[in-house]
Amino acid sequence: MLNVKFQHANEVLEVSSMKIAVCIKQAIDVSQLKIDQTTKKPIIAAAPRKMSDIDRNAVEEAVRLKEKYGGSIVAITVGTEKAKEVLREALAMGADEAYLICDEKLRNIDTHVTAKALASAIKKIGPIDIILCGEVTIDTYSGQVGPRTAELLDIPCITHAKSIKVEGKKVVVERDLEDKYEIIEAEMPVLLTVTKEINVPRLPPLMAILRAARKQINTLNAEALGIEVEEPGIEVIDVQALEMKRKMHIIKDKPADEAVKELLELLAKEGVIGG
Amino acid sequence: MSIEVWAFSEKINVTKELLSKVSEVAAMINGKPAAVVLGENVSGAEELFEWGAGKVYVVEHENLRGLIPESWADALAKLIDKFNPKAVIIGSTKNGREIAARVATKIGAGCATECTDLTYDKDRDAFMVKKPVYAARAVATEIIKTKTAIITIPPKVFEAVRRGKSEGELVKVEIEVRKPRISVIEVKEKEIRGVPLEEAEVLVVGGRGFKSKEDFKMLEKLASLLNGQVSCSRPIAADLKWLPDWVGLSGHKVKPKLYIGVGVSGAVQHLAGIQGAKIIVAINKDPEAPIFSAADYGIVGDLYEVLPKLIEALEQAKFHS
Repeated sequence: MLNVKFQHANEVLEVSSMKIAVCIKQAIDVSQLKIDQTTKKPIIAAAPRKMSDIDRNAVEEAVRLKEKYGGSIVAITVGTEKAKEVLREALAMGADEAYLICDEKLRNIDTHVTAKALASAIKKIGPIDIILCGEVTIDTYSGQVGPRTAELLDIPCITHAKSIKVEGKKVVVERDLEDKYEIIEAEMPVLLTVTKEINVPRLPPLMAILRAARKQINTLNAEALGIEVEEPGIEVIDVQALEMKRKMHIIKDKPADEAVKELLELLAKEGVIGG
Repeated sequence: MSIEVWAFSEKINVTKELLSKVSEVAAMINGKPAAVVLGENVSGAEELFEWGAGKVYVVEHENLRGLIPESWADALAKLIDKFNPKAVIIGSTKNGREIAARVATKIGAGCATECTDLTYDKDRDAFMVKKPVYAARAVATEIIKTKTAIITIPPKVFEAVRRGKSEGELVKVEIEVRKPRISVIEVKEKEIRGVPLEEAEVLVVGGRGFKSKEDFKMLEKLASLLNGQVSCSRPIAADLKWLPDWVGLSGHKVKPKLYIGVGVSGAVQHLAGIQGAKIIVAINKDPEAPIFSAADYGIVGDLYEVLPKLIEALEQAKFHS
């Protein structure tokens, strides 16, 4: 870690260059998920994947914190070789280093082992001040990996951050809950999960994308991390497509008043208006 | 010691809802339904006997002040260690989810999140859940294989049921609770409007088709004619801040009799949040908008033409009735 000393009024502040880790997932793009019409099961293997939307906000926030307060960013993902794509995106957006945690043994893992892999990697990479994650991922929506990683690292965690400020060795975070906002202070190191509202992620310029394509991506396996891969505590018995049994009676190419009249008659017949 | 299934939420009303399901599954395994109440000073824990708890565990500790999930999880994990319940059902509020994640990590338990159904599978000798996955495009059935099962269930999935009985066993437990490492320095309450969206019978929801906040007044008008409530899609609340909260997977998951989406395109996350609606109506000028394939009825048309006509027609109907 780089230590910078500078004069501030009458005191000497020692400010070490902040190190940020951002954990990202190459998730299933749920908007493009297809259903097999004979088995009524979602076709997971062939589904397109992308960086989970809110993880992109986490990367953007990391870059903004770096721009404001200085420091460096390491992006980490657990996935297959293909997950290098999301690391390259993070590098193009402004991350400095990237780590892919990839192992045959880590193919079908749950949030517990994912968090274990991330926590071990973070320990191995070195002292990290802020760890950022998305509040949930778009495919599983569980919100487990962030707090679990904090628990394993034995550090504080603030979920659902909608703004983050760094003040000395502390972070001040605005947390978005169902019925209130909380302003929370915590000493670093700390893990923060961010909401989609915290920022609008940048689209990296072409030059940055090209530079990112040439950057090295570090790979870690289970052995290098020294983790034992346990059996998941959850077993998925079945996944069935949820059929949208809707009537899809759509009125088009009619003047507004006629369309409205028809709609209201239909709704009255359903018994949801009038009476 | 008898077998127990626990209900826990930091919100007592959610604990009551969970107790409905907890009573049911506890009966399946000849166990006892119980509830956990944590806090700096707990009052009214006995109330839970009426809602199905045969036993209520209470932990009071100064480090439970202000609901810091880290400390609450510490207390809950220690309580689980001490009394070994077979399953702990946690309300999946934002704080509840963090508590569940931390507790499951601490005790090495499998944790099934965001479940909408729970049963005990005799053949597999395990708790079995159903939960929406992939933005509610599919439903997964899962079993929890660990000694203790942690299961989270969102608020409003089950209805709280008041039972006749009002007595039970209150167990006050003394445990050391870890001091929180974060501190809440300010709380700002969100504005509360009308009945909770989850309980609305009619919901009128505006989306990005609206050009200004002013135009949302048309939705207010429509809602009042239908005795309903107004809400919006995520971008309207989160980005434009016209309303404090939204309908969708990340906001309120609703189940009105009638949902009318006006100028809502229908992102998968939004559609996932309205699956519980009896009738879905869409008004959108884009015939390709995904909401039309998830709707019962729809009008392809400009909301600025259709909405005034709809309001006018409903006003007339009201006048003539």
